[in-house]
Amino acid sequence: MITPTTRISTHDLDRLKSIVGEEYVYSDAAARAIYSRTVNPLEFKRFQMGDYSHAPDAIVQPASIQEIQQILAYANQTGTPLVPYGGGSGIAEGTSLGGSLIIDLKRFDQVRVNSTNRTVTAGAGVIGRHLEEILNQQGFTCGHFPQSMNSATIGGYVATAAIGTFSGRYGKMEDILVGLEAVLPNGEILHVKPIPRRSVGPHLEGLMIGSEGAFGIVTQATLKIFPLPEKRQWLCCTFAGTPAGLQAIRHLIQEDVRPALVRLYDEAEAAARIKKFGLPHNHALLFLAFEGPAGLVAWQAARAGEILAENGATFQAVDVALDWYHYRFDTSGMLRFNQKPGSVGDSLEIAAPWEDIETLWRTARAALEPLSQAVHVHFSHIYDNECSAYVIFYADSGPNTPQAGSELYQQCLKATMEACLAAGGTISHHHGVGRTKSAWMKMEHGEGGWDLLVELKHALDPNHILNPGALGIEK
Amino acid sequence: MNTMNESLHHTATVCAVCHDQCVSACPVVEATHRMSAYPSRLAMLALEVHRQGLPVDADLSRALLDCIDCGACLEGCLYVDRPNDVTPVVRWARQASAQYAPSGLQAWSQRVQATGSPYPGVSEQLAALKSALPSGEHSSPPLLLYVDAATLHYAPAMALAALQLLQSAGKLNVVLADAVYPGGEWYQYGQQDDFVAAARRLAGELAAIQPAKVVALNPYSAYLLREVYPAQAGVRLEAPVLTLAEALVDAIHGLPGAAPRKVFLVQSACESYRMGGGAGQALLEKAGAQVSGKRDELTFREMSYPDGEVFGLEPDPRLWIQKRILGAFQRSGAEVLVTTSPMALPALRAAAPGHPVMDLATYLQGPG
Repeated sequence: MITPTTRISTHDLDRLKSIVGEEYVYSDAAARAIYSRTVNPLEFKRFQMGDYSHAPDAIVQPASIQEIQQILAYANQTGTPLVPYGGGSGIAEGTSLGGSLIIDLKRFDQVRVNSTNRTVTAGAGVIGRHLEEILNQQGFTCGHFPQSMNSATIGGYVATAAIGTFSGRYGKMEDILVGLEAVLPNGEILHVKPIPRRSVGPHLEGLMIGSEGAFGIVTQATLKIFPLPEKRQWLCCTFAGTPAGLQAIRHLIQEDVRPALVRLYDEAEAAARIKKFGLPHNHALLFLAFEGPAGLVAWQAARAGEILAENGATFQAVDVALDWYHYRFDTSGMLRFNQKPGSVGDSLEIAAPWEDIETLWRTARAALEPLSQAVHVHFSHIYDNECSAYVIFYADSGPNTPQAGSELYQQCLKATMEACLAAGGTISHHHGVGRTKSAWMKMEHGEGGWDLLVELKHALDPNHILNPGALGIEK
Repeated sequence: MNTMNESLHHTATVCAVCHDQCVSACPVVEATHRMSAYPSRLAMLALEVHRQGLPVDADLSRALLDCIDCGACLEGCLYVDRPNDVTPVVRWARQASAQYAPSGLQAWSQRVQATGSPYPGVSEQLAALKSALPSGEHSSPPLLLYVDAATLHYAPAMALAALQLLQSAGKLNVVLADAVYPGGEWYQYGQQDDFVAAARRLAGELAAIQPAKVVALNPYSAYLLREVYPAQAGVRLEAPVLTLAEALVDAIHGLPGAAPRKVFLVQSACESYRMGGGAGQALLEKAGAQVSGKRDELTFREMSYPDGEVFGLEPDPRLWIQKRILGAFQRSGAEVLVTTSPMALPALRAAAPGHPVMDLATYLQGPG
């Protein structure tokens, strides 16, 4: 049960109202409940338990840099933890901090398209889908299509170092981002000019990409835009096993064929689609999409066909890929599983160099299978040197209580993280760390890297007011 | 108050732990940036009310009123094969906080109690329409054209055109009802007792008339009479209830000579999502029109009150809806924007100045 009244004093609420306006400060129980979760399974379980210990004390919705600066001044004076919040689509408990003041950035909603520079400058609160609609109407795309794009905001894209399903052509957030504006914990403004290539010292935007609101509050970002693709072409094939599929997609990328989209499903995850489309049983399934100028697409698809054939592919009709495309935002299977109090499912996105990826796949599966009803893995972002793996588990605790579901989730998470690190992988490819994966940050970075990250936080935010605990950095 | 039934509880449970794929479709979120408009959060609030985990107060009431029941979230629902309609869940929760309803609804209710209609001038419009009814004795049971208060207020010409269309289709024994307020706002905003009383009053009048069928000119009223009265008020009408499009689909064989052929159709959410898709497109195509674009949400609160009456939200989500419709209309290449909803007409005309905007009946009947 949520506490009926906030712990923030009337005096302080009045001060916040004087900054952003009375209608943009929320401290009632309903509002605090609303902001108590994003879309993380543990947050769902807490809701099912009626546990609002992670709910904020109040929410403010500023509309200008000056208002943010005044809110930061208030937070620094009072020691109030301040948590930046976008669309609420995070899946790593990045905003779950009991007693915090949420700073909701949705009123930063301006969009400016620069067709000469091929960039768009968007406020942190613009929802990804809305940005894409605006661009499409002018013949452009941002090319950034995460599964969360219907609710995630531009600020969230930056703060979590996000990636979209068509990243092979358009790039990851660090590739797409060419400039940004952020407010630092002391109220100073960081303005990174929208010139992506500069030799003027370390790239300061790197402090904000993946910062999860702990190093600064991103207020706007300038992103690359691209002409809407002239053509999209799909390829679909099966392999006798996942290792053969992994070898094939490695050869693709290392021979300079760059699909916009790659999805290689291991035998377990492919099974449902294989059954639906009558494909050979117990095979890995791959589909690729190429898009861009027609000539380039034709060449890439033809060359991909040659390389895949050399690596044992059996080509299939593309219906299965089109089916995925149609339902690509549908996560209802996972959600239905999470609705049951004692059940829990999640997707953990990890990555490793090519030489370790098969080991990562095997060890992650081996770690999760004793705990889960099903484990699915697919590989959907490939690079010259590495590959990411989506490890999806569906686990049922037996006792149908959210407490049991929550405990089982922790076991699954721990098993996967430890297996990942042992196999030489990284604990998060693009969902971020939040609080869910914070226990493994030191192992992820090593002693020196971790100490540097903590020192950076201390230097930027000596009072630890910005999202304390995110990324695992405690005061 | 009523307890949450199994169906509502299931929908609330599904929506409350959702990934919010519908949010980008929500005009309230786009307009106001209020997180309380997220369907998942509304479901959360309803479940907390159900399990008594949240104080029922004016703040809760205000949050629950952020949903304008446009149905846009159904279009974006990730449960592709079976959209979950969160709005009945919201209405259920609104009943719990009805005592904290804003003053706008209280004033609305007082006008209905005093005059039978929330709008001024409705009785005069009804009298004028009655004067256009065909005279003479008829042996067949009557067809009741249900023209509600909103239609009489916002689109009296639509009512007259519909009457003439029905007569052209051979429906000569047409009657009208006096109980012009079907209780939609009371249903929407949780005034359950008033809503049930309105349903019973109209059902009583219809029982005396004994019509062969009821044609509800406003699709939202068709939805109320056909779907909501039996389920939520325990009132089942004897006669079948049709929308105008459903009533005419087998009786229309052409368009007036001067009518533009390329049409952009705007249906209401209650037609498209809650009553099987709506017959507007089939009717228009049968008449010879080319439907070059369509929008399927809209037209309860967001488009219904051009004067900002009842519950104004700031910024006004209707502006966003208007912008979306205008953009889609212009991209479609249609010559005329036609709506089945009389309640939406003023807002659609405001959205598309300089473009022809017509209601379905007037379009089919032709000007004059």
